[in-house]
Amino acid sequence: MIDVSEPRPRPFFLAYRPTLPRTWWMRNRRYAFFGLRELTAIPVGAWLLSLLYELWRVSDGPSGYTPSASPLYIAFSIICFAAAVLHSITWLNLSGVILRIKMGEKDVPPRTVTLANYAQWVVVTVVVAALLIWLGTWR
Amino acid sequence: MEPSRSHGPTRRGALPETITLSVTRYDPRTDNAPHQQEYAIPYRDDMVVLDALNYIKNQVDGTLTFRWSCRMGICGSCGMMVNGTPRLTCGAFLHEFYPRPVTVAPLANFPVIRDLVIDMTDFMQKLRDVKPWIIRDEEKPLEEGVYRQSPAQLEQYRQFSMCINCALCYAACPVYGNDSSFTGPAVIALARRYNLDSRDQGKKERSPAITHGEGIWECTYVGECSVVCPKHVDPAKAIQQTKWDTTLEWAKSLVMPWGSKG
Repeated sequence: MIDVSEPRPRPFFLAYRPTLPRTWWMRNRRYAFFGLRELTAIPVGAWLLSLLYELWRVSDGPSGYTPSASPLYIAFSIICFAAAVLHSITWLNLSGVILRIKMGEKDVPPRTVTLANYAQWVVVTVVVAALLIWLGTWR
Repeated sequence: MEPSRSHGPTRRGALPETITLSVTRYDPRTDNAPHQQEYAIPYRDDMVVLDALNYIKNQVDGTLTFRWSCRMGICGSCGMMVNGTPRLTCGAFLHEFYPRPVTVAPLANFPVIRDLVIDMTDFMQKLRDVKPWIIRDEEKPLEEGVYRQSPAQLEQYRQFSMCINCALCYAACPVYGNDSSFTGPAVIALARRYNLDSRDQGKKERSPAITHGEGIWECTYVGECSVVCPKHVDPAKAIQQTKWDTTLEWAKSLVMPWGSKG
């Protein structure tokens, strides 16, 4: 006879199910940095929107256009620039981890892939900057 | 071991050094939620957290329940949260924490069956879904011998083959913690291990289990899975590489729909 007064084990599906607390990202620095990295998308997106707004302002022609020089806009731009740099660096650092380029039977070392991507970044930045400066002097 | 280190009360002759362990207790018959219970036990600097738990079970409280087997970091069964970080308790030395107390809890993100024992059914199911074994279109007859592989071919997947299914990566993954339908780090890493094996032909068969909505694309690359992995498997790398390969294959199938072979 089974003594029904004895507490019987609950089946496994009644096991305690923990929930992820909202503060999980505060558990360690790496989680927090992940959050920061993901959040950089917001300033980058916001700055692109502000760029669209500036393009709309300049659409009436160059005569009436003066770039915004308010301290607030400059501070905003600096934050956006910092976010863009962090976003780019974390992205480029990943490239070596992800891209597997075969060279014969072996893969190209991850470091080489990352450095090649950084080199491309520098080259593209210089070319685009030179083009913009050249276009600015071309009236 | 350095000779200068203390080996506890027997060699010093002074009062025994003790360390406090705060251990999660949960009895599904009586408790609605887990709670912490403290045990002060004799400290020796060659003890690991698992030794401390065994000391408690043998000397203090026989009802404490936890899983362990090999105590040398290969069976993968003694994974627990040690001071909030997923660790194999057989490899977590008390001297890392002493004289501060050590908090031991069941692996995060899993249902708790009792005390420090988690329910791994979900993980095991997902593991089975990716068919982590060598799949051949047609097995060659035994007389033809083994499937040969060069050291370079072995190197392609070797890192991912080191997984011991300890599930520390699942405990570290906030994506899995938030929604357990995510396939998860170890399972995807093991799928990749077999996909990269030159002897395997099962990539297509494995694909549905990792490329669905809760598969690789759920991963946001927090990267903590690779940090806590005791075998340096780097599941985060496996997932991001799978994303890249899958995207390339998809693009290829768009450009060359006639060339899509298995």
